[in-house]
Amino acid sequence: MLLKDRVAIVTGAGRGIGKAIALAFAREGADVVVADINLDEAEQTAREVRELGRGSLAVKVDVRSREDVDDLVAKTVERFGVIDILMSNAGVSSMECVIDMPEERWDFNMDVNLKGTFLVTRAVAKQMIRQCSGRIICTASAAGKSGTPTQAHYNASKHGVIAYAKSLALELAPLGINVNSVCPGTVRTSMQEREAAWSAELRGGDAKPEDIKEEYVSFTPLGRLEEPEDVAKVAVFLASDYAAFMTGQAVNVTGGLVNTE
Amino acid sequence: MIFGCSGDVGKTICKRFSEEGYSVVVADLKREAAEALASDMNNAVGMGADVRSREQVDRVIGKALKECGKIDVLVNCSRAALFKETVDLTEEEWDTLMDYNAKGTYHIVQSALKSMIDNSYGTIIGVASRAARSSPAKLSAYSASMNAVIGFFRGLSCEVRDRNIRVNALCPGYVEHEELLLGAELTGNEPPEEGTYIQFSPFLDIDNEARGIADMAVYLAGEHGRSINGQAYGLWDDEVTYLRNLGLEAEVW
Repeated sequence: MLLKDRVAIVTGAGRGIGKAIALAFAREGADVVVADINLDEAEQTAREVRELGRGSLAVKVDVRSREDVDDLVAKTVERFGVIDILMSNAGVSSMECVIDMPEERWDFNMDVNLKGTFLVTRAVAKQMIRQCSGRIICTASAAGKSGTPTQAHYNASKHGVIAYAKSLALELAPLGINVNSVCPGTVRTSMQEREAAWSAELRGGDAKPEDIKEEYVSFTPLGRLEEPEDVAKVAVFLASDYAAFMTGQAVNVTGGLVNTE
Repeated sequence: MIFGCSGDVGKTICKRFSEEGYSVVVADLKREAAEALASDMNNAVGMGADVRSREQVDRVIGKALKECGKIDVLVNCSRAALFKETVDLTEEEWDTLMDYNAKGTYHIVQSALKSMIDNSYGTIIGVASRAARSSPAKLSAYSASMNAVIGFFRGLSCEVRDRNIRVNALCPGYVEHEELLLGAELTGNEPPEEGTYIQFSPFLDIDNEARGIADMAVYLAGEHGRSINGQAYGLWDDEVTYLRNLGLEAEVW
């Protein structure tokens, strides 16, 4: 097991990529604190972690709230004593062209994806600095390295996550804490279901969500939709000793969709 | 239409566009600075605007459209930076940098975009930073905001490419102590020491760099730049020299 007896926090772990990561960490021997804005879903993931024989705790967290984030760290340390791994994963998206983009949508994407990353990593970093050890992994996106129409705000937030994590990596490196990002492509999640439906609607005509998903596949050199487990495997690697000498990196997990730095 | 002239980059960009014969409307958080710069140039107007306020941005852009009839080139040089460890960064400081650098860009672009679409013409240039590419320690919020600008532009460039509008970013090195002063002022911190940035750019020649960045802005806005869209150009130390050696300077001049 690659993460035996480590303690991990995964935000946005009620479903999708976060849930897959929480379960993958548990399979590798970690206790996992499951944070999500939806407590019912967090509790479900926590149950599944326990079924794998690992300790778990479900915490309701809105990553935009400093109080919620502080509460998450306090509860984790109270229950497990340390935080070895943080997977800062909670994220949202929406789709609209810039010309029609309401300010609230800009704020929504930036606040959850980027400011949420800042608030969670800052709070956890304080604990990791006391321990002089830790791994922080941020879920960025292929959208953190390229642009897509109707998602300029989401692109902005994910570009921000990558740059932020690089700075943080340099600050925390002397303290024995590694910070990396993982950049998924088009992952089969509820977010993808929504985006495919929005894309079809924005495009008008006869476009159907299924057609959009087929396009995702056709753009992906490895020729299939990405699964949450594809991201989870790389998250496990980044959290493990195999990645001990990696920090400040933004790793693409896109089936070849993104092949730039 | 140029936002932000408190630093050397903004000032030099304004002057270069003016030298090229453009009518320049320049807006800055400090109205007096914009007015003083405008009084030094032909066909220029200076105004005050806080880019964090949509209302103020709309007012300035509305006035530019009224005075000049159209906006061919929109440049944002409004930048604020804060040099501080991330664990000590307050939520308010984070918000201030994000609002000024990233959301300010969104306000400016969205406010001017409609008239550019109506004209089927326009060039948008954002001055980001080298920090967007290789984020240094103690500049995490600034780096995040600058890379957010690039991400925003990359998405936007896909949306407007069929409308003869081009969107690009320039990434200067650490040339502007003024952005650190502004960041400290906006967040209520002590002004940083002179030379805080020098550690990142030991071979810095500020005049040369500001001029190189302004040359590139003029290049992107002109005929030669008509096929360039969705790019973020690194323009620091060696890159500026490199472009000059390529003869770009001669072409621009």
